[in-house]
Amino acid sequence: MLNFISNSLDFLENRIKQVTHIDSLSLCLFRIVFGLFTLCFRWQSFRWIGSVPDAFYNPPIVSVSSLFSSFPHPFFFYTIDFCLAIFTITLLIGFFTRFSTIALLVILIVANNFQYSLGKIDHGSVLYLCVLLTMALKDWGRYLSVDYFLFHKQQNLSPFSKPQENLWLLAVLISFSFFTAGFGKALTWIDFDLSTSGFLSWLYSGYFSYGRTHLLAPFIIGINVPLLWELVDFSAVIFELGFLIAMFWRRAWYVWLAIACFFHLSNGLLLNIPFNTNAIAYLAFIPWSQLSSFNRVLIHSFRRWIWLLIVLWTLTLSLSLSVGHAFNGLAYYLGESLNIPTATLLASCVLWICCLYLFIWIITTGKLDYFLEGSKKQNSE
Amino acid sequence: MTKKLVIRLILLLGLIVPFLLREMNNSLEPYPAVLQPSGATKISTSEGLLKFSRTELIIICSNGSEKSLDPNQFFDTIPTQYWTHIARNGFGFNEPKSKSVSLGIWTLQTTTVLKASPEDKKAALEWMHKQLKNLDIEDAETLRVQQVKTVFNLDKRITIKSEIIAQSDVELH
Repeated sequence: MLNFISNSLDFLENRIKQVTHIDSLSLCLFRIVFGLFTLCFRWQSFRWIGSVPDAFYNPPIVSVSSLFSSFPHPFFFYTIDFCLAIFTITLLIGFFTRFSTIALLVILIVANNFQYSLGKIDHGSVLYLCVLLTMALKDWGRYLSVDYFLFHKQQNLSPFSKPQENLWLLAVLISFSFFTAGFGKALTWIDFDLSTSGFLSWLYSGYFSYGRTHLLAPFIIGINVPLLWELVDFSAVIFELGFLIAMFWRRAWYVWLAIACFFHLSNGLLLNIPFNTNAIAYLAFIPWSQLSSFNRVLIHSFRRWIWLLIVLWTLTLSLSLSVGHAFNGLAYYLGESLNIPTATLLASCVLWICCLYLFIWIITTGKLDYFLEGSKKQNSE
Repeated sequence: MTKKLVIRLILLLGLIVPFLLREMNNSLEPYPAVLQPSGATKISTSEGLLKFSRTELIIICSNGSEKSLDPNQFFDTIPTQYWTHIARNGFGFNEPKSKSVSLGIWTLQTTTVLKASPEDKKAALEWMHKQLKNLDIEDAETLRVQQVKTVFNLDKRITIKSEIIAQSDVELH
């Protein structure tokens, strides 16, 4: 019996490993994308928690923060912000990469514990943390990093040898997380009753309670097409539960990630819910080493690029210190500085359009099967 | 083989147990956990009418006049997604709340709203006064949190009825 279970799990795991196959160089390029994404869209600061009254402290029952009776001293949150800034740059340039990845993961979990002690657990950062967890087990600092010059260069590791990796754990975490979202909706939204709607409950509560009145939201308020809203409910449930099936076929997995980008873009435009942190989890599956210009520029002049990355980080840190809690990333800041209305939402929509384009490009140009081409060449030689 | 199986089982339990806890009761949702928001709510659209509720903040001044308060401005540094939860918990001034959750043969008693100490309440009042002062509101007597049930006409695209279904007051002096 134990053997049967083990063999079945082996089969499934190997299948997902094949589907999420990626080369080591792509992972290392992704590390830089991850760092830049953090500077542009996910610069987090927790020092505002230090000024929140302890009377508002209401931690989740099953969490580290439930062991405390109030928020820690403001100095604690300043320390967290300082450490986050330091480990973001060390991760970006690949200096003690694995340590930086684990440190970022742990610090963010601890800090989030206290942020979510205001009576609500946010789920926006779940996949961001899943990426860090997965990469803590991978060697995404092998190339294009300070670690390479310090520890690996003597071993004469060539970036072009492209050792094989896979992201089966991240695929499982993404699929399961979407299952947890879709399961509840499947029980409630799939009711074959045209007089109720799940999508509209999000639309109207957001519009009237949270000020989500931008982009396309005002145009769909008041539209009374029950069949359309029922179909929207159905498609949301199928999309969220479908990840668990799509992860067993490579093409289906990439198509599903492209659909996910479209799903988030629609949510941003219609419901004004950007959920843009999910983008970084999807981007992990892009074979970055196949984007020839990106890869050529970075590989051959990485020593020079390090300084540019450090300058970008310094700029982000300075803006964060001068603007304060309202600073969430360079992209949003740029939009607001240019006085673009709803800059945050527009930046998110641009991000999702870029992600969607990337996935469609990968699927349509056959870059999905790039590793098969490599093995074919080796066989013919 | 056994080691690999144990690791897989731990991963499986690490994913499934938090999900089951949340399915049993939202207040049991642990953190950290690999969970996305379910948001499995729905509203009725029968007869072209939508019914939903929203939370509002009202300031009652010393002369009895009422002013609507913009939550984003009032809560300032606190991200907007938390204000309804803080307000519904009465800014820490409500009595502590507990919930009983049935776990098969056991019943788990969980505290969903903690009791704030007098010092904490005093600090919260000072914080609220400071926020109101920043908004140029000096003569506030009471901060009211109200749940408003709204009926929206889909064809005419207008709100046809608003009814207060619950309200709680925080005395600011």
